[in-house]
Amino acid sequence: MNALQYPEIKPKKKFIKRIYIAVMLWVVGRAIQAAAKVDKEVKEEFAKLKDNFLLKMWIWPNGPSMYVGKTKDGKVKYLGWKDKGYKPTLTMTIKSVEAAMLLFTFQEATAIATTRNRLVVDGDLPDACALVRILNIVEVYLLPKIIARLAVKRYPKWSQMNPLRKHFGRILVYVRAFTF
Amino acid sequence: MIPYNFTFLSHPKICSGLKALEHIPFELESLNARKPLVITSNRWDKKGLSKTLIKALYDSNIIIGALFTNAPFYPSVTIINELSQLYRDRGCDSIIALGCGGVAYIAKAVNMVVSLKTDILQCADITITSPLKPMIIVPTADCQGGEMAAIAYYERFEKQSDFLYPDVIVIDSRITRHANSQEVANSALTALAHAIEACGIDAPNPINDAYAHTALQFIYQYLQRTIKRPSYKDGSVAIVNAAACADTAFSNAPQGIVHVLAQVIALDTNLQAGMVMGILLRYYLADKLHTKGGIRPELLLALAGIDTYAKTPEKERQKTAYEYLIQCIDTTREFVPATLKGLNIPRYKLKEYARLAATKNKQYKESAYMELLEKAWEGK
Amino acid sequence: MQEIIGTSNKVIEVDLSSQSYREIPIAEKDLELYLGGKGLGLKLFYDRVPAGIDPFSDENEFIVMTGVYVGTGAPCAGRFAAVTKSPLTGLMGTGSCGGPFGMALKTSGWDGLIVKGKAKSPTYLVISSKGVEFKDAKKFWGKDTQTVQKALEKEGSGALVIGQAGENKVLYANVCSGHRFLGRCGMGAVLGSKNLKAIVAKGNEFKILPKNPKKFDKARKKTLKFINRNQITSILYRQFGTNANVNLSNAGGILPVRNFTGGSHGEAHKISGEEMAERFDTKFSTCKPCAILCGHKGNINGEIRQIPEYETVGTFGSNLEIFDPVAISNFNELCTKYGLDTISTAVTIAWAMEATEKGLIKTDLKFGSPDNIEKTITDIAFRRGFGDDLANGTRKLSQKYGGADFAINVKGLEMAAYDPRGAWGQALSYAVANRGACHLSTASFAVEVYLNMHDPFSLKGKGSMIAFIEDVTCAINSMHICQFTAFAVELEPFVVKYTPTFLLNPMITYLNPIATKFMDVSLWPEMWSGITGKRMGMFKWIKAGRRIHVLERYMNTREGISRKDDTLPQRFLTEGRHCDPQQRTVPLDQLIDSYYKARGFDKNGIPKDRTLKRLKIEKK
Repeated sequence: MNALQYPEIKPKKKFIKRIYIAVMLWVVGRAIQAAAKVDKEVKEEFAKLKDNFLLKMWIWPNGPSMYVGKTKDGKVKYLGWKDKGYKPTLTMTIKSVEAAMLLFTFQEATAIATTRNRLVVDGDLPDACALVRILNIVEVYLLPKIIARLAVKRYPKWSQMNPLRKHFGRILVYVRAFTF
Repeated sequence: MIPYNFTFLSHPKICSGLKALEHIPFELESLNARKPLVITSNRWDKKGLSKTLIKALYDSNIIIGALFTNAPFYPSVTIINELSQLYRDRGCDSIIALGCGGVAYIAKAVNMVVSLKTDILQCADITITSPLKPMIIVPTADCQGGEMAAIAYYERFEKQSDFLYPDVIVIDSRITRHANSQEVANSALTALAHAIEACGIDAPNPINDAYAHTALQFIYQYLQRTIKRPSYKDGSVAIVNAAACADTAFSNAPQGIVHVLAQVIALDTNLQAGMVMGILLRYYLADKLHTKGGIRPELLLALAGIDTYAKTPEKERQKTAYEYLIQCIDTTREFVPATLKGLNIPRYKLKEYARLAATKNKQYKESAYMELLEKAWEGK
Repeated sequence: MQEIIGTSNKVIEVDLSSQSYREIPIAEKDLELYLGGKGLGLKLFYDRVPAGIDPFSDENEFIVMTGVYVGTGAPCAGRFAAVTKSPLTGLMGTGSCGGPFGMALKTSGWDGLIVKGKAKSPTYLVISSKGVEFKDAKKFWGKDTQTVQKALEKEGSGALVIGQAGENKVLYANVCSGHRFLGRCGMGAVLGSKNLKAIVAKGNEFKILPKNPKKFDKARKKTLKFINRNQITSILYRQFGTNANVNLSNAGGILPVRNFTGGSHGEAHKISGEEMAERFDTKFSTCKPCAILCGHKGNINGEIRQIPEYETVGTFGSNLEIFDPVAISNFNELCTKYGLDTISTAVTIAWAMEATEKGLIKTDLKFGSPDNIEKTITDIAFRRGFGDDLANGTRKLSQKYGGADFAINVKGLEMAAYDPRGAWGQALSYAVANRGACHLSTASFAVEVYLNMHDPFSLKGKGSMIAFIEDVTCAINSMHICQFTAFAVELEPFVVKYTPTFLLNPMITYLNPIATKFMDVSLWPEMWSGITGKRMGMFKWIKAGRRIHVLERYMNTREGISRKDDTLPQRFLTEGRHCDPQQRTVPLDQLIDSYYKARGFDKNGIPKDRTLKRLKIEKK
């Protein structure tokens, strides 16, 4: 056998997908920060979490990542994508770029993705459940119904989120997320 | 009463479905491996499956030590030694087998050689006492039986050990949809035979039954459509899942008469063992039907579901289960004849096959093998 | 002496169980459609014997057909064909043999012989125009072929004899006829299973005359002229015998070396025909009406012995890495004595050597060493010790012990001494030949490597070329005439002889189905027509050859043969030859597809109904 016929192969990177995911993570991070100010339910969820709560959502093994946490004064802040010595209390590791693409192109809801073992959650279970609820609300704000339906487990009914709250909150979240 | 006297082991993690291949880097990392030797055959390489696998490993820390694309059908000493040397030279730490049949058998044999650090022919005498190197199998829909089980085939040897299970089985429709109808039929019949024989042992256990029943369900629900259109994604994934479950059930039960005979006949005639199993199974079941408790009524539950099971009177469940199973086998009639005569196997060879089977597996008498062969030949 | 004009059209059927015989007439229509020889033998077998029988059972029939040419004085027409069910492959076993038996049977007034049933005790037959005598062979049972042949010389002018290998039902035992053999497919074992030690034909009772002497003579003289003009038949084989192939194969990279791992060797010249002619002071020793004179005998080790043929030299010599012609001759003599096919014996021993090297079995056999080989051959003949396993051939051995990748056989029949990786047409021929890895199904290695008339590594035109040569070869084996006359008859006509190779090669490679229409093979049908008085044009003759080949294939498919069996040992599909820097292997799938298309088979290799109908083969 001529071993030279079978060289080593270093798999490449998926640049475009990584850029898309990085952008989506930034948008979600900023949207969480905005929703924490705009939406009462999100505020309440965050209030129940510990003061040192820090979420790291990242793609294994080399990123991109998103850090969102509570500051010393209790505010929820998007802390960026760089690791500045943070100690996350809740880590959501998405196992591959393709798994992240499924999540961020809304082909799979977060809950479904978890069932299908596409992400690994490290940290307290109650915190994780709270975060999933927060993410669901943020996705409802960010996305039109036709897409959000795919992303969340159960799209909220009128009684749970009336259209006024939804549309007004959506404007505010977009403004806060993309400006200050 | 649920029996409590049994042992059961299922080691492989099964990752099945949409984008399952992309799980591989994480699974390798959790097995502490980063440099796999990938083994596949020319056929799958030409169909682009190795490119699909490589793309699935993008954006990870995995380096493929070597992608060997010429794995032959027969797991010979030569190819096993050559690949073991390649594994060592490249400093690999794991093996990925992309394909079934010879590819998987060779991969397992190479794993034994590099893990036990011995010649392949010595492996027959060694009892494996610790885990081998990480092994991932990515099956295609041309399963011959045993690839995902705790058994290794190389040359004319057969080695069974709990450590011969693959660590991960990755079933992805991008890989499984490329087999042809004949191969799908063969895989399904092999899985069916293994599952039924695992259920039909003297001392069944509920966990083994669960695997066997799952295999039966998959086959019953998906076989017809998948045979008509082998590129049907869901169907091909289901059939391979059935093969994986059946292999686990097979690993936890003694080898059945149908399996042993099919192996002997396939060796002599170059036919696929699955085809022969499909024929023999028909007459094996017919025999069992007339034996008390021969066909367990729970098979009807697995095949037809709770409604049909509940509606069928208790006395008729055995017969109804038999009819459902025959219906399943009949789905493959276009590719597998109903008798051994239909395969043009000469009658005079049956005696030789019975003798060889009895030598291979002394669990059954030569007369028992011969009886089944005669019935399967004539079709009575 | 009485005369037979044309053919007697009579076959004698012998029933060993009841010790009776009767005459069976041949239908005129069958003679026209199947020509005689192998073709007619197959047709008789097809009509009389059902599919799926055990080759060692009473139902199996051993059919010898002489063909129309034998006894007429046609050049190289001393051969006869035999048909039976092979115990080695489980398929139709056919063979072609020289020596005196064919002539003896024909001149006893019989075109053919059918042996069926089983004798209660060792028996031999004496056939004359009056009928058959059943004689007790207990005094001959356990004796070698040469001793028995000599003893039977006074009873008739030609005899078929089996050796101890046949008596012990070694699956590749052969049948001896003078200094030639019905080598392949284990026919000796079939006779051994019938307790039939020998068949003697008295001979010299009839003169065979052609119906149209003028036509026959014209074609005969032209054939002789071509034989004496062609370089291969008149110089190469006449001077050096078939071992002239050694240097040619070595140069072309198709000489088997070390169980077919290599295609050439630096010491090959030591066992070449040229070397042997000089060393052993060879003289002619041939079949009676032979005009090529390829058979030789020489002074080897103080004895006058038959010079081993190329197949023996290739398989017992370079394939075992033995380059001592005396040692090879010793092996040849033993195989002759015991009645063993040299090709199968040697290739089985090569398997055993490699399996020992790899640790699959334990024997004293080693490549490059002639030690223990003679003992092994004896053990095989008597089925003693490991010889009992070796006597079953490489297929059964590899099923039991492993080593299937280097068990060099196709459908159970061991491969002859031409490496298929150096000539892909030959590779295809080996894979699809009806009786197994038969080199004589087309002898395509000669076209591709020796004569350079077809690019050995091109995929173009191989399917139709192999199909054409198979048809012609089947027809030749039904005449019956020596296949070597093909060098003369096919290469000497004007178009082929005077077209330069640089034009001929691409024409045959790229325009193959059309190019074969320009091949002039008319001399053979003309002689046939001259003898029988029936019309037989060239294309009708080739079609008859096709009919015979497809009938044989169809009979094999009834025994379970299909595409899965049209393959080569794994070695040729995955490993290159040591002598080939490009390490080429055989791309068999594409070759097979083109062949099936040319043949009118479906994708599973089964003849389509339409094909059978066109060839007037009735499905059974």
